[in-house]
Amino acid sequence: MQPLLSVENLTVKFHTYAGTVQAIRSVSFTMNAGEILGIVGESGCGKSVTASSLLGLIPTPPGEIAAGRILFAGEDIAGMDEKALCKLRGNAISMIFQDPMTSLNPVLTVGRQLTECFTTHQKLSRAEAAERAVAMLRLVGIPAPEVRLGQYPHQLSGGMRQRVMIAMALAMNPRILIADEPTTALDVTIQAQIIDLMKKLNSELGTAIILISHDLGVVAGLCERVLVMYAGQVVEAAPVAALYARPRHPYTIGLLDSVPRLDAARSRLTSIEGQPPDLLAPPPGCAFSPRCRYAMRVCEQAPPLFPAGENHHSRCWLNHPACPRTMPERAVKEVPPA
Amino acid sequence: MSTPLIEVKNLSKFFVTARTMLGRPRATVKAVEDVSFTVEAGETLGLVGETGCGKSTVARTLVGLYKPTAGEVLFRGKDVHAAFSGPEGNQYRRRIQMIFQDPYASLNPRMTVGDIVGEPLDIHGLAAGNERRERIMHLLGQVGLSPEHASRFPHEFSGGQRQRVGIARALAAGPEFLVCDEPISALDVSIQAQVVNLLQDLQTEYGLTYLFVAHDLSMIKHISRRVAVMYLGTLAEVAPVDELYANPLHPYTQALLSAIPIPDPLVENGRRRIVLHGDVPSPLNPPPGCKFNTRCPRAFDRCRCEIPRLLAHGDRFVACHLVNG
Amino acid sequence: MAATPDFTPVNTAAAVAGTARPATTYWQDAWRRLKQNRLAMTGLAVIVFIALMAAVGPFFSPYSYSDQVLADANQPPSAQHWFGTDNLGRDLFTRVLYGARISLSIGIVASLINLTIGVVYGGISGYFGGRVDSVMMRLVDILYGIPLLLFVILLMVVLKPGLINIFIALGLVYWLGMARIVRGQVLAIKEQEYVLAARLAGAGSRRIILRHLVPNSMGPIIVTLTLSIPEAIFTEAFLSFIGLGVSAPMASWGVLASESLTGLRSYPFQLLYPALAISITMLAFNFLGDGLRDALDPRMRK
Ligand SMILES: Nc1ncnc2c1ncn2[C@@H]1O[C@H](COP(=O)(O)OP(=O)(O)OP(=O)(O)O)[C@@H](O)[C@H]1O
Ligand SMILES: Nc1ncnc2c1ncn2[C@@H]1O[C@H](COP(=O)(O)OP(=O)(O)O)[C@@H](O)[C@H]1O
Ligand code: SF4
Ligand code: SF4
Ligand SMILES: [Mg+2]
Ligand SMILES: [Mg+2]
Repeated sequence: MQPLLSVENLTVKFHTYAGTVQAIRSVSFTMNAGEILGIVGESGCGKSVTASSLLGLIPTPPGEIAAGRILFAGEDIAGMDEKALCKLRGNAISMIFQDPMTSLNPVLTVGRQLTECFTTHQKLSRAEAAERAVAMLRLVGIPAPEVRLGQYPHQLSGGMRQRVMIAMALAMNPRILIADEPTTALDVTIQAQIIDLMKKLNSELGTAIILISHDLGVVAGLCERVLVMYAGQVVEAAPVAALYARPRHPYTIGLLDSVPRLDAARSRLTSIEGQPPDLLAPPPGCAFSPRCRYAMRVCEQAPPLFPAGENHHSRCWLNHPACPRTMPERAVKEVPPA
Repeated sequence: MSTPLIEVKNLSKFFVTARTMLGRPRATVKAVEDVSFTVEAGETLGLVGETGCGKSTVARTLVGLYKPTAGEVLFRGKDVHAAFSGPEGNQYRRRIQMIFQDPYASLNPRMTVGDIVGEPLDIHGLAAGNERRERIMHLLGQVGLSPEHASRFPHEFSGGQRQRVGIARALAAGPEFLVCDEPISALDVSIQAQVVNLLQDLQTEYGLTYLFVAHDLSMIKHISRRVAVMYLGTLAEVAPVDELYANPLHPYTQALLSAIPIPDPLVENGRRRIVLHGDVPSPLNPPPGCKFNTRCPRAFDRCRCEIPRLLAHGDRFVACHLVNG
Repeated sequence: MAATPDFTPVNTAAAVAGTARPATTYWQDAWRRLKQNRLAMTGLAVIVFIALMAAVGPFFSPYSYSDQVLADANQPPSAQHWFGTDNLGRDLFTRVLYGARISLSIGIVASLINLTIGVVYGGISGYFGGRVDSVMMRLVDILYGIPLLLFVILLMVVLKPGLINIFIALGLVYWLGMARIVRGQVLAIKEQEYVLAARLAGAGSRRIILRHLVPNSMGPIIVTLTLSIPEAIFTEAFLSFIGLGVSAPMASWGVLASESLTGLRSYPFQLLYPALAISITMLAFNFLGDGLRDALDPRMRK
């Protein structure tokens, strides 16, 4: 089966006064229709840049897609002109952002912004558009949608604004919804509501979702497959169960060990020392090597993506078939009986 | 029982957000209302709650940045606000320090890291000249920075390193009680563990007492001995950490705990969530009775008219009619 | 196939080196951005050039600004008199150079007076806030309501024309903008967490103002200062033009322009040069000020 989206060796650079920032370094992944894909990683590792390039939203200059292809239904997004991109953004791929306030227009009512999608793209009449808008708001779980249509973004709470954003993103019935940290600005109880909503929309409408997050818990509950990014590269890609049960990259292991778990006994956190590299001058070889406890001589050379299980890949030399060292086990945490 | 290090009694803090032409208050935010708790010497009290529930306001009133509208904060039995303005004000001030949330806004961009850490030393005349320099180097070493960092400016550091500078500054004054207002929320996951470990090491070394404010319940569980849960300006529940997480009594605590995602897909998919409906009401216009009644899945008539009091149940405290009877 | 990779473990020093970005201070950073701005750098070069000419130019000129050579009156520009002469036979080039001295010093001194009054007034208003702030800012609002030029003219009529009085009149009037800027800055900065931290450490008002508030408001203050210089120069020129400025034989650019009016039909160059001098100087300062605004604005920093 042909994947819905396939990214091949995508490389994005930003030219700044201090030098060239290598924001994304040869990222490849594929995505099937209806799938929920998670991208996790620390801030600055290139998650948002990856997402922006899928929509042709990299500001040029200073940005530049230096290499690679992004194939959506067989067509290369990286080579599209602005007109084709516009069409793509409306109908095929849409995006919601971390801060819903900055992506809604503060001087237009919610209804105005929502119906605009229908009147311009689908050439519906005003009345039909309003009807669709109410239906969309109801779909994303906003009570009394008729009242909300006449309100301005600042009159809504953070959670409600994020729901409106989702409604707008879904208005054109896109094949892929990219959610860039959709719950980071929200409280946990509201976050739980939004996650539930995204799950429901995925199963009812079949929209594929790319969920970008730094919260390993959110990803665990929502995604089917996960990419772990570090310093502009995908360092591990795996089905969600395998990634958490049997991580195959020291960085992933470090991430999982450095967050305390609600359901485990207290023990000292295992932190990853140091900090992520500056992408102006990423370290040669494995980008994680300056912080890695398992570093070897060979790590001075860039590791390729090794197969590490079914549908599981890891960019770490420990997965080399000839490597005598074994992948470190996770610090086992005692899980009390439920 | 000995006197606790910190005792907060019926603390309220209101902010006037709009005034009439004559200067009378027209709109008042009751950011904190009738909050009481204690912090024992050497322990960590975790304070959790959602955005805008009043955590920072409690924290800032505790360290004396805000004057309470009502109630008092006692440090070793002495009212801090009176003590701060008294003749030995600076002696008290030194004992209570704060670590801030935003590693970018909490360091003066025009001062070197050495001067930032040295400022409390200068103010209290604790060290000068060579001794001052040595103290600064020692403090930087304590938080895992190196001596050559002293001459650099804050913007040359990452978020985690800046937070370390903030911790060194707080330590410089020689505090007993540290109020940490979301010290790790702005940091990356892998850096959070570094800072939490550092705070725990410092606590062991100096016998520090912490009030640790956060919205991350997993981290609160990890670091605290007792936990206070806030909702819309009031305390919902205060309890020893293991009891609270094993058996939350207040319906809000229950919902909050069930909303925390767990980084394990097997556990996560098998969980049953209490999903709260609706949003937190505006603190400008809170509901009458129990403040949680608009979202509480178990609210009944009495909740809508009578404010539940925070009552003791053994060593825990709960403010809910259902539990208090 | 290549040899098996070397799987020998190595010890990674956990302490990761700092950032690869060049370590620069705020001012170095600002200077770098300013250098990239062509207009601002041109402005700066023009200002330096004019200042140099004003400082040393007259020493190299064979003419004095006040000696009248009636035989040479109203000469057009030539090799001897680059800008020609005026109706009393004085060399215009020399007079424009002298004018630059007067105009620039008026611009700078008046701005320094504005700076002092504005920073102190705005600083007090912002720092103490509350009622003090309300009263002080109402006063500024009221003064703002009056056309400032009118105010200056009235003052000059009372004070009598003269260089010192121009300093006083301009200094007394143009600090309002500076006061507003400083107040806004102070209001915003005093709520920053680093100021709270200083207060917690026990810092008094003096330390907070000198170590925290002032250094962090420098950027906008410098921009406002730079932009107020051309304003002062223009006001002086205008006052001199209507006869309320410096007195003869001193020649500010405004005086030169005013004197040229009598013979404007026949000798338009007499107006052209002082007018050009005024325009170029004002443009230069405005370009520099705008460039500084971009260079010093912390929101542009990353
Ligand atoms: N200086 C102030 N003036 C007016 N209202 C304020 C002020 N400080 C806080 N408030 C209000 O008081 C309430 C509690 O605020 P607080 O900052 O303590 O919340 P918080 O729990 O720390 O939230 P967050 O997680 O966003 O930091 C909020 O409604 C807030 O808007
Ligand atoms: N407009 C830009 N100019 C220069 N560098 C940029 C720009 N946008 C992003 N970058 C850099 O690209 C890298 C990846 O950024 P981003 O994808 O936003 O990270 P995140 O994982 O937090 O979403 C970072 O080093 C960032 O500084
Ligand atoms: S390749 Fe080497 S340095 Fe990189 S993660 Fe694997 S073991 Fe560590
Ligand atoms: S008092 Fe009533 S509304 Fe409040 S938490 Fe208890 S049951 Fe719910
Ligand atoms: Mg991002
Ligand atoms: Mg807060």
